[in-house]
Amino acid sequence: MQDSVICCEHLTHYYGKRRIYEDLNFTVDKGRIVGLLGKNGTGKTTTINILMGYLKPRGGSCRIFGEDVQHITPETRRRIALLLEGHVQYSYMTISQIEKFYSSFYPKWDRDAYYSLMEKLKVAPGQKISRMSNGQRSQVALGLILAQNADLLVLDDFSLGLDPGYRRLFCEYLRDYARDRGKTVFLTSHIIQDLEKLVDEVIIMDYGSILVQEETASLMGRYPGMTLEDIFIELTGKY
Amino acid sequence: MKRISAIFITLTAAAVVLTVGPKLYNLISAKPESTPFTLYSCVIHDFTALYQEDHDYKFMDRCGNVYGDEVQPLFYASILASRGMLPDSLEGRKVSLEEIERNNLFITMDPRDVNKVIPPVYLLMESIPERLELQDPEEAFVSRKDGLYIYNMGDNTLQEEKTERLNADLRALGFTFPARCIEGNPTDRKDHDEGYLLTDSEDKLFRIKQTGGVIRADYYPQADSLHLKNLKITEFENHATLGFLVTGDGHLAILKENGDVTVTDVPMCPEKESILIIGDMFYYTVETSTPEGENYFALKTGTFELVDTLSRTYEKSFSMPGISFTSPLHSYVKPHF
Amino acid sequence: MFKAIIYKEWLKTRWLIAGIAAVGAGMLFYSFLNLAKVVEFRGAEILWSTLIAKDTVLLELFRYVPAAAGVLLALAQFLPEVQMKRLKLTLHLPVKESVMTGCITCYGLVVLTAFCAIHALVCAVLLGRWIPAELVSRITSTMLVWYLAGWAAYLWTCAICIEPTWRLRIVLAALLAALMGLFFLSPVPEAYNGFLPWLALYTLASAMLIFGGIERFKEGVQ
Repeated sequence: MQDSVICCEHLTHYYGKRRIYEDLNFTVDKGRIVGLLGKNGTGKTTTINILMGYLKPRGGSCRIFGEDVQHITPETRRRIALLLEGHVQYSYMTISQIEKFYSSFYPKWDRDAYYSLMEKLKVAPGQKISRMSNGQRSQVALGLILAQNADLLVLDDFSLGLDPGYRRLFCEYLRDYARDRGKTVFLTSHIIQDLEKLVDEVIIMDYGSILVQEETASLMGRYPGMTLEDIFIELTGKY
Repeated sequence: MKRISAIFITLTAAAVVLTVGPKLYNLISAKPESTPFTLYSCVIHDFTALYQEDHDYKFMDRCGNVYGDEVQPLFYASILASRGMLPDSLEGRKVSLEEIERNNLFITMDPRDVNKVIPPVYLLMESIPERLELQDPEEAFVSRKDGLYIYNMGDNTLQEEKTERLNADLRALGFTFPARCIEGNPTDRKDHDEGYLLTDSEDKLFRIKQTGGVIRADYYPQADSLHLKNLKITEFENHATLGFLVTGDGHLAILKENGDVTVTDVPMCPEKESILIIGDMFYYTVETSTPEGENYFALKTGTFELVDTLSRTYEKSFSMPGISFTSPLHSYVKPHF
Repeated sequence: MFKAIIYKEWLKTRWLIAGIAAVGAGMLFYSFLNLAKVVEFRGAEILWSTLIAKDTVLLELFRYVPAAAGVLLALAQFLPEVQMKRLKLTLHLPVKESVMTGCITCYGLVVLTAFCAIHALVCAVLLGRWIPAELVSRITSTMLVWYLAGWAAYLWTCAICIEPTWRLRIVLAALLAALMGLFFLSPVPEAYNGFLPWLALYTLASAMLIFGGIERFKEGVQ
């Protein structure tokens, strides 16, 4: 049996009186790339916030590497690379400043992984991240999480604001990186079309519950001739 | 930490409400209050209170009798003289406008002037001016643990010889450093300067005064047992007194030019009371007031014997209690309820 | 790691620090130029007599500068953190939250303290040419409450920035305004002498608001 890197049990959360989900259970095993898919407002970012300890759920618990997410130790946080929705970064820094900053925190920092991506960016050395395009910012964010050499990568809506070219670049880099090094990836997205070739396993959420948690290949096998996006719409309804 | 910070915010908010709320209420509900100007009369030998009636000012004694300005001939001497109504004699002696004005005196003390941090640096005036008016001082002295140090203010240099001589003179008179209380009136808006009254660490009373560039020190042994708390130098035209003192047991004492000290029966606490002393040829009216009321004392000029007293209690108006950081009684910022 | 945290704070605040230093230096220069001219025209005696007889410390121009600097520094440090919830990145770094928060806050307090210490030193040295140590001490003692106001403004503004709910932000801002009123209640020199240690303790204790705000942020309070 594979180790569970992420394990959530009986997860329940409300925003005021609005139920997000109740009694949600899922696991993410080591070395898997798992996609949490759902329409807007189904609780994907809420789940990421709970996992990273930025939201206290109304009920249930989550563990990452065996630790309660409300009290993750710094040593464990070092093993988790986080990408926030919108590729949020310290945009007042330049690419070299941000690399210098982050590298101090991660002993396993892989400088080459970062700069090999940065070479593809056509930016001046002293250019601040705030003055870059969405796509360029996403590359900086990707470079940083890859360079951390973390065991678990958590990405919240990594494709937000990216054109198809950057989305494909992102997915390819991530897939190759994760598979080559046996990393675990947990990501959310509401753009499904890029994920077919990226994720090993999908969790499809609807308002309040999980509809499906299954291997991507197996799910697509049950709906022959349909893309993952078609299957998603079929399961969640058109609107 | 969340809970502790919530408690901290709540306590701070409560303190703000308890400070601002009562202040606002008291400001909105404040009503004008005044008490009549009261002075002892050498004519009727009673206290008279000034009040206004039909645009005219009248005086009333404690029996309700009403008088005009003539009941206070010394206070209104110049007005009466201009009307030709100034009497030739009072209390069995001949008086003139000139003599009356020379002997009229007026002095105030406020708790805020006492209850504040006063720097131990004092301007040293020349008591006898070269020309008609007193000059701005060029020197100052600093009171330190082991002596008084005289500086030239222009270039901030210590006047070593003058300092040594002054401290030696004081020690020769029995002064024990450091000085505890130093009081003077370093302004040029007066006729003459009488220097500084000071007490040493054993509460003995001294005076220093600069005349022709030389500082002279005097000792007043009659004040030795009084454990003086407050000093106020007086520089009246008539040179009748040198200072008003407050003894350790809270009584007004008068220091005369010849060094005699007379302790009066007037209770006084400059830290808590506003004090007004109006004196003339025959009587001194001493008023001490607090937020609760005021007291008047009539003293015979010269002997300072207490001849009469009057007390007034103010009508209590509701004032919302709260936290305050300032006070009319002191210049410090500190919380009190 | 601490170097990296300080490096990040430095990147956010370096231009502001330069600006505050320039404004502070400019105000110092103007104040002392004024005083030098007064001394030149009327003699240093006027400084002595003004300090002795009047409730002034000659440098009132600087009165509100530490408080303004505290507010600006807090905004420079924490606004970038709370925009787009960038604070999540900071709190995700492999450092204990309390250590991270403490480090960031200490940076601001150290910058403010250095600024105020330099100001006090320059004033003491320049004034010492004209007036005795007792009067210099009176001036610097009086200025201590202005410096403390800077600390308080800084800590409370940090707390306001970090606080996730607008309702509590408004409450904190109102309390900060009231608190600033307390620091500037009296212009009388050395009026705060007795109360200053307690005020300093209270100001330091205000730092707990920042840690409380971080906890509320982490709980996802809205």
